Amino acid sequence: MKKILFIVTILLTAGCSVIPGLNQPVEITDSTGHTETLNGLPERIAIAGKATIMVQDAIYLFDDAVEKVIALENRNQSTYSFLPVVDPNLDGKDIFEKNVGPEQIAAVQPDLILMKSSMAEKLGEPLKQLSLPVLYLDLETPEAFYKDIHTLGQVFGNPNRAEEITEFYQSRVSRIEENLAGVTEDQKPSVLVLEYSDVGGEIAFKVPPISWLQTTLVEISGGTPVWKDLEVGGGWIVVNVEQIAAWDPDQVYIISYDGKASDVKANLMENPVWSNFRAVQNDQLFAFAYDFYSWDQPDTRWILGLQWLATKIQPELNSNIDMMEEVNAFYSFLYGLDQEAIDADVIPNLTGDLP
Amino acid sequence: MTKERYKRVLLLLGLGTLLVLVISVFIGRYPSPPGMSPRLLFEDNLARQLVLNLRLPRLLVAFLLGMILSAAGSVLQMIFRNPLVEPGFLGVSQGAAFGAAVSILFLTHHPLVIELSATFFGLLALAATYYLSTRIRYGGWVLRLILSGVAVSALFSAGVGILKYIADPLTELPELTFWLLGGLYSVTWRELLFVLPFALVGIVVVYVMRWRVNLLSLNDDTAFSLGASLTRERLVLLITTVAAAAALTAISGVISWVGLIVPHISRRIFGASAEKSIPAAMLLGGGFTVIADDLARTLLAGEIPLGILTSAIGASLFIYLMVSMGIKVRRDG
Amino acid sequence: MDNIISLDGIQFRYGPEDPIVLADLSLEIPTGKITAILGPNGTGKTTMLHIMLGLLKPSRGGAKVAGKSHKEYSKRELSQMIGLVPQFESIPFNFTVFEYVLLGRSPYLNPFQLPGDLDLEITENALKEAGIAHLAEKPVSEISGGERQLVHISRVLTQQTRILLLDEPTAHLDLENQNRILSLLKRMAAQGATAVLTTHDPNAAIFAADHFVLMNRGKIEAEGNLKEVITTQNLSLIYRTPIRVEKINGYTMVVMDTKEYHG
Repeated sequence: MKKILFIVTILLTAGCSVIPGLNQPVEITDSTGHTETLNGLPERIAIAGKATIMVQDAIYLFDDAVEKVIALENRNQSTYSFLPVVDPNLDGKDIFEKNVGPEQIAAVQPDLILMKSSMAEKLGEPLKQLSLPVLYLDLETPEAFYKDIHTLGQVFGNPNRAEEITEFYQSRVSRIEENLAGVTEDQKPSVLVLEYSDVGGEIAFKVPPISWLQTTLVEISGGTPVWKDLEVGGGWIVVNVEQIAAWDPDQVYIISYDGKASDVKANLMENPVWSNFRAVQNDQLFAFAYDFYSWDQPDTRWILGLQWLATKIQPELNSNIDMMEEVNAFYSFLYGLDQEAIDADVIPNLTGDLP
Repeated sequence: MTKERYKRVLLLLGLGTLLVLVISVFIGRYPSPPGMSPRLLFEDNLARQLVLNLRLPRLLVAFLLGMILSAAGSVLQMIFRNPLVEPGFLGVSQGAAFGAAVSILFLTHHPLVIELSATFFGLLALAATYYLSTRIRYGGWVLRLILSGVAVSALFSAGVGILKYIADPLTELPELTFWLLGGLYSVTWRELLFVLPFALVGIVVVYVMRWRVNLLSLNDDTAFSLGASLTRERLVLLITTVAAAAALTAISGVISWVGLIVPHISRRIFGASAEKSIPAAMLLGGGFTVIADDLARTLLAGEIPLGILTSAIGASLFIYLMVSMGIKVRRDG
Repeated sequence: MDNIISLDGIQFRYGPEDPIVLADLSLEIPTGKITAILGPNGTGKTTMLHIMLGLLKPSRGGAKVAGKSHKEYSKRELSQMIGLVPQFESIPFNFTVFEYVLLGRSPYLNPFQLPGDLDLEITENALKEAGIAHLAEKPVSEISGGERQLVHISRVLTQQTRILLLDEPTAHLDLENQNRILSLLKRMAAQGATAVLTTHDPNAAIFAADHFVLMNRGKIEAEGNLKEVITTQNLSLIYRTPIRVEKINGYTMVVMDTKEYHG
């Protein structure tokens, strides 16, 4: 009896190594240049670290994510607003606590961990010490995004899908670039993007660092960001209202990560100081568009944010962009939602100055 | 310093402070740094709105903040017979920040409740520091009080950190820099209104008791023999000034070093008697903080946290004073 | 009134577990005289002064000032009646001599009042009386030890009290300064004040006092005038070191015997 078992096991093992896709070592290099060699396509993927939402949304562009993502970090309530729409298996998955450590991650026995590149030192390195494979997504610029999609294509063994996704994004960026060909500097309105927060009664207006995606989106859309002369830029920078008045931008966009941008805009229009701003008086104060998340971030929705900005910054030149059509296209093509699902789950969540 | 000379110099100081305030009205980033000409107030409606709705309340709060921190610092130094203390070193400011954070997270955003919570925890921190200092068995009195102040400050700062950690760090963590480094960028008339009663009580009490403070700084037995109800009088002074400092910290964040350095400078110029040095310290502190806040909101396009500026200037002055002439810390004190 | 302060059966300990500092002590302080309380260090002299002041309450027994117990007086009344010059007084902040001496007027001002011209005048006079008017504008850190004691006494002078309690007023002072202090005290007594001073130095007591009290280990060993109290027998007993009382030209002096100390 033992002998038969022994032979069967050998045969099975040999057979497994012949079946393509299983047990073939896979070598993947991510957009940061980091390489991992895996024993095959990963079947148990964990997502951890800051900016989890952005990483998740990129991963779920691929169908197999539903099966293969087995653990996620719960950063906050909004982690749960979009995921249930695309992942029916969510309830059965392991949920990490915020700021999960390498040991807890190891405990769920993943064969690949995906995280944002900014977490490399804090989380990535310790995981490597435990001999766990880690790949990073950068997501901060369009170029990095395309590379990240390519990486994910390799992770899921689905390079075709990666191509499709990249084509989806690049065609839309090209359309804007073509629309804006020949636009001169003085045809570009001066634009100010502000994040508004009033946590604990402390009202703060902040501008993004020059290197961040928000700045790039404004530039691609044919605007001139007024905050380029800011000397510092580690994270969001507080500016006082006087500085905003001094910049005197043609357009102001208000971002609220709590989804309150429309309310904030309404209050500012009544505010005695703001109502004297040229942008406000010309009706050029906009609440940044938002569905489950704000469209300004290094999330997959940046393409929606970009197109939306383009229709606001250069409306005539970008008149061939229909935002509602783009929303439908985004959710149906990228996330496989049918129109019914979009109407039920996405459309009601839209806020901001849309279309 | 004779009475006449004191009156003259104080008047000069008062005029100087007024001048600082008036000039500060015209300093800012609009229309471009360093500031605007007075004419603009009449021509530009936006400029008028900016000054009336933002700059003025902010200036006044900065001035009050400096006055109160200096008054509280002077009172703490005299009552504890320790020239090295101030609200930021004895845990008061950190306790106030903690109290404000607690109110925001667990109670309500109503400014009055926030102020009261800040006041409660600020006073609690002071009591804790004092109690702890009586239990330490290391070093002289001056050192013991500072050591326990450092410990209590650290505990409450950590407390603020922990509260921020519980709340969502993705969207709220930047505000930690506000609490621990301070800033007046969101001050409007509303904040000024709510903080005014606390501030006025503190200022008035310190002002009318400015001579009596001298008595309260003496030996307990001497002060008793001179008829002081020591505990009661000390508590009145401490509670009113510390409560005012805590209430202001609730809207400004932790601002350190002003309460330490301004009383020293005032004593150096006007003499050690609180009757003369405390009113002067209040004017000096108010002016100093207004100037620091002018820098905070004008120097760069982005706001510089006020606490960073007061620490940089205050600590530099402190080092200079300690090294050059020596802040005299009496060994038998 | 013959005896302005009287202590009756006083026992004092700091806490129920602590040793007894004063044991069944009774004492009368004669009005208008200088009383010296003599005794070695640590016999409870300071504690007794604090009880007279009203700062400490005896565990047993009672103290009376001008016929009434301390609690029958308001804080204000007490502070206008009894002044204290403590043994160690640290002034943590660098007041000028004038500013510090002016604090002696506190009993006459409520916590919200500022000193008036009268208070300033009284302070000036007190400084003159003590012979240190020239030091008025000097910071207290810049004056000598002897001058400091005069400053403290000036403060009590401005307090204008009937009773002065002084704890070791001449300790650490050289002879010239001792003379100045004690002479000043005698002048004040001549003007009707009652002074109680504690000292471990018999000669200082002899110079200034009219009435003598000898204390040892919380008890009174002897009480009375110079002849009765200052005897070789009494002093040797208390100081546990060979001491001789000598009379030179009618003046009594206490000297250490030339015999060596043998523990």
